[in-house]
Amino acid sequence: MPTYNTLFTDTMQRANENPLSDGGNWSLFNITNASLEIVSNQAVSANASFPGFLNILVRR
Amino acid sequence: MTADQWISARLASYTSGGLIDLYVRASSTSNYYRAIYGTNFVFLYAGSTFIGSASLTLAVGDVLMLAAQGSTISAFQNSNLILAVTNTAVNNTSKPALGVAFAATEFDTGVINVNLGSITSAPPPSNYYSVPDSRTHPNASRNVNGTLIYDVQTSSNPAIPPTDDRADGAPIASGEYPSNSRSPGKYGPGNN
Repeated sequence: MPTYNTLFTDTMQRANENPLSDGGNWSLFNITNASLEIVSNQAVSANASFPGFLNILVRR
Repeated sequence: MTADQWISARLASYTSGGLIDLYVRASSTSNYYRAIYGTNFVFLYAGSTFIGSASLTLAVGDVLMLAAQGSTISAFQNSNLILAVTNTAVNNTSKPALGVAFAATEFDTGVINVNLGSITSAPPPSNYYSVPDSRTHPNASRNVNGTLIYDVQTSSNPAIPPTDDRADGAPIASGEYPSNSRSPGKYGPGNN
């Protein structure tokens, strides 16, 4: 039976943040990606010109 | 991070057509496992290679999760396994990643409560040992008419009760046995 150990949690419950960073804990997956941002306590797509799969952040 | 890892996110707002992208073992743009959750599907990819899909219906409040444990890549919705695929193409210890794509207008799809971590398995049962409970049969047995009765004290330890360990009211051997009470008779044709 696998055990899922939580090593990191981000509730996104904080002031609007653009780009989403959490103090540098999130970073762009690739330089061609657009970022996410926090709006109204949610992580959302940050750039209207990148509606595809380019809004990706990796946890450092 | 270990190679066995997971990431989850709760869907906080959603417009049909929006996408939630969950990644594990994301080391480069071509080396990752990826689950794309859409309005009525989840697609799994190993890098750019499609490896599986399943149907579902997304709803605000859903907790979406992608896990990689060994060669098993699993997609969950609200803790229910939706899709599991065996694949060995991606094996690294890079971390999970998160993506969101809006449907029609910016910010129409969003997530909260992003969690991620490692996966461990319970050690095999052979690592465990249970000390036998000596009170199961605190007494030695004696044979009463072929039945073992455990009421013979074997220890002077006061912690071990020198009593019959059977529950009150349990039947005990009476020592009496049925016997053939029939009188001898005559049997056969003409003797009934």
